[in-house]
Amino acid sequence: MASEVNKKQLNNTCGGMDHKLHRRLFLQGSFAGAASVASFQSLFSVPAFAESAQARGKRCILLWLCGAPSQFETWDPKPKRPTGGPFSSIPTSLPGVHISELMPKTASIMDKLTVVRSMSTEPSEHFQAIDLLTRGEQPRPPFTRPVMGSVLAKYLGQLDCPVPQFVLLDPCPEGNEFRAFKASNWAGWLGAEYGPVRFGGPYKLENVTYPKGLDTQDHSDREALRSFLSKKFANDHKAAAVQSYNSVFERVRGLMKAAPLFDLNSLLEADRERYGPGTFGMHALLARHLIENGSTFVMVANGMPWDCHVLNHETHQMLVPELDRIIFHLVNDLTDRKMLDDTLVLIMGEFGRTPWLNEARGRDHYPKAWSMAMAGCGLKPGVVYGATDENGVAVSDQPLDQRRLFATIYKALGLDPHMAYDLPDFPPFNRVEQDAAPVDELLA
Amino acid sequence: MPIELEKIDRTSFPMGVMDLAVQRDGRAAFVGCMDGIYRCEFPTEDSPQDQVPLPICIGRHGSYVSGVALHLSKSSLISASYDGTIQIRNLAGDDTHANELKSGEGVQSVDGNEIAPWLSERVHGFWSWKMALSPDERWIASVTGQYLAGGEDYAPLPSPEPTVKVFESDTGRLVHAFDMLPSVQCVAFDSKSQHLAAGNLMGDLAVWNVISGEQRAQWRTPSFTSWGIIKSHCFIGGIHAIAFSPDNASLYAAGMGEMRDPMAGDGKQRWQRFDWQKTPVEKIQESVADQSGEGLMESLVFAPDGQHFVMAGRLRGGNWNVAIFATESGQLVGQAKTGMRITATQFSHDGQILYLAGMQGQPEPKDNQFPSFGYLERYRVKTTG
Repeated sequence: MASEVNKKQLNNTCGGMDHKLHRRLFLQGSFAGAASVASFQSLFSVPAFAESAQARGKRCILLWLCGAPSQFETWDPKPKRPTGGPFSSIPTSLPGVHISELMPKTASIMDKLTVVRSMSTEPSEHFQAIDLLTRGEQPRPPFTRPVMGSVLAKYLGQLDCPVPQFVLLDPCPEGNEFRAFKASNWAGWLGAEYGPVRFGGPYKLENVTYPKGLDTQDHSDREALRSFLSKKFANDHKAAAVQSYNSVFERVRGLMKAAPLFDLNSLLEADRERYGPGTFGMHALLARHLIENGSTFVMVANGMPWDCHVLNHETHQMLVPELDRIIFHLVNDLTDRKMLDDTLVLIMGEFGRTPWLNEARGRDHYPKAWSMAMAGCGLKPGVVYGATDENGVAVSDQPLDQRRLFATIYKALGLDPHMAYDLPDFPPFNRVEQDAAPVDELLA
Repeated sequence: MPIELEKIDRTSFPMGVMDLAVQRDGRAAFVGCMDGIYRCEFPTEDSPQDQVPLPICIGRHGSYVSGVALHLSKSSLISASYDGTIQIRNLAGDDTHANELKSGEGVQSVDGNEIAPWLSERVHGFWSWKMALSPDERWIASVTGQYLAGGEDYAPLPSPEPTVKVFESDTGRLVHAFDMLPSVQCVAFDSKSQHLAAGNLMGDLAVWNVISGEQRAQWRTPSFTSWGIIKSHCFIGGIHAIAFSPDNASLYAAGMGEMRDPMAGDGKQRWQRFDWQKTPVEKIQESVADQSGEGLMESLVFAPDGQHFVMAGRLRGGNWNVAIFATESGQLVGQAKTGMRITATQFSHDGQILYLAGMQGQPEPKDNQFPSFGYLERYRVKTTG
């Protein structure tokens, strides 16, 4: 039954070839000027063009481990060292590489992953670090750099796709500093239309059903008329406000069509059992589902559970096995669906945790030496990059900051890391600043 | 009658101390640390005043040593660890059990002052959170359980293995295995060695008859468990210490009260007393709110005369992290701030000395060396007024 539902959903989303046009191609192409006055139905149905765009389609899932997980209890264990904690390490499918014993499933697919053990960044407080690790650069008020999800939604997103291109799955409405960050401007200078659609927990898709007495055909006719007139008006008047107005309509219309995609209960029970039962796993499964159906960037968060200032090991013994299971199933599912080559999976928080324990059995914030992991699109699998010293206090080999990380991520996704934004009246801004070089050893 | 705690001395250990077993004569103690089992002798009246007790490592596990107990009649030391093993060492120096040494997991190479265990048995698939030896020294109880998400609200998944196990102390043979929802974080015998109690993350408590294995009581108190509202949706806290009253009629539980932010550690320092023999079990007493500060309480023990009990743990906010309560009234009658998180407490045989073990925060390394951060302190218990 669920699979039938999924098939029906696909017909409402971006499964069709004629919806696979790359947004950048559209903006740069000759269709741009004609868009508002040309036929407004099946605008991009040229099969050859659409197929080419589909080949370029890249997607990204960010498993956002907000609060910052301990590298010692995940990717960079230091067993038997004073800093090592109570867990041992286990061998992986990569000869000579060990990770925490809490990650046996992930250990079996380490040959598919790309792990960085030498992240070294500056901010040691959550808000600043979340800001840095989602945008890639320190703030420069009053200008607001877009987060990575907004960048990918704009430059990799699919035009006219009813499925939201940037989705934040976050069932925990609070989260201290993350809550504050969630209230900030995510899309920055790209504009609100590239901000995330938020879903999860108390966040439902509201007002996505037709009003009483209005059927699908009526609604479609009305929308077609509204869209035609609006585009004509916008073309005649060149007003930014009109464009924003149209964007809102487009988003609402898209959400109405895409709403069934967000129904967790419609997903296969077997899948839910594999990823669940926790909300993080369920939303990771939903991320896979959204990516399969046309979203470009899905960020899966779950509050700030990794901020273990108290009872670090006692909390990681629950959180890490859940993460382990999610990574294993997500990477394998994307592989089985032949999607991993086009889908980048990022697994990271905003920094790491201290080598030393505090009195409350916790580990505190530690940006100096930490780990993150990636898989898929454009990356070299089975690589462990960089290293820390024997106690995990400092990076001992190949330090990596957020600029080079972002440059690597953008390049892996087929984007120019150093593209200059076209921002009239702004100072010059690049996608990644200071010509930070991608890490060749991480790229396929 | 007010009680004062007068500090006598402090012994340092390289890593944090997790449990404590003091010799009956009070001359030495064995402590379970994050990095092994240590023995330390206390200075006597004849010792030079500047003598600092030097701990000696006598053995190791594969992970943190979470429990130690002295088996006096056999002159042996029992230890349990986060590696899921129980080890037994003969302290008398003979090799009675030498041929019985098993090559179980967690056995380390032995050198210097270390004593090889004659038994090393993997008894749990996960941590031994706590271990207890019955007062008659017949039984060892060890509790385990990994907290894994069992529902959308992150309620614990039932354990695939029994989480409460009882062994014969002489042989290590398993005699009982009981189920309790993970993680089971504390265990205690009554004074007659007839009953065993355990408490878990979710505030569940249970009492079993040690001989028959019959479960005598089971109940839940919601007062010690938090479900994260602010930062995360998961459970944290629970019951971290239990003790039977001297007459065995009551069971005491300790931990901390509810927190909105599970990462804050700011729950109320709390104990509760239950009439576990009543059906249904009834809470008959609890700590007075305005006598408590904030912080996780990890130890609760009775003075030998039964007139008082001590609860100790971490000070997050307030006036004390060690408090003495009158058993009958439940009122606070003594308190101290130790400047460290306390994981284990024990009275001397005569009740005149209180031993407190625990740790401060682990310092950053200096010159590539990690300073010590585990401590064992002795206090003189003085009745005043």
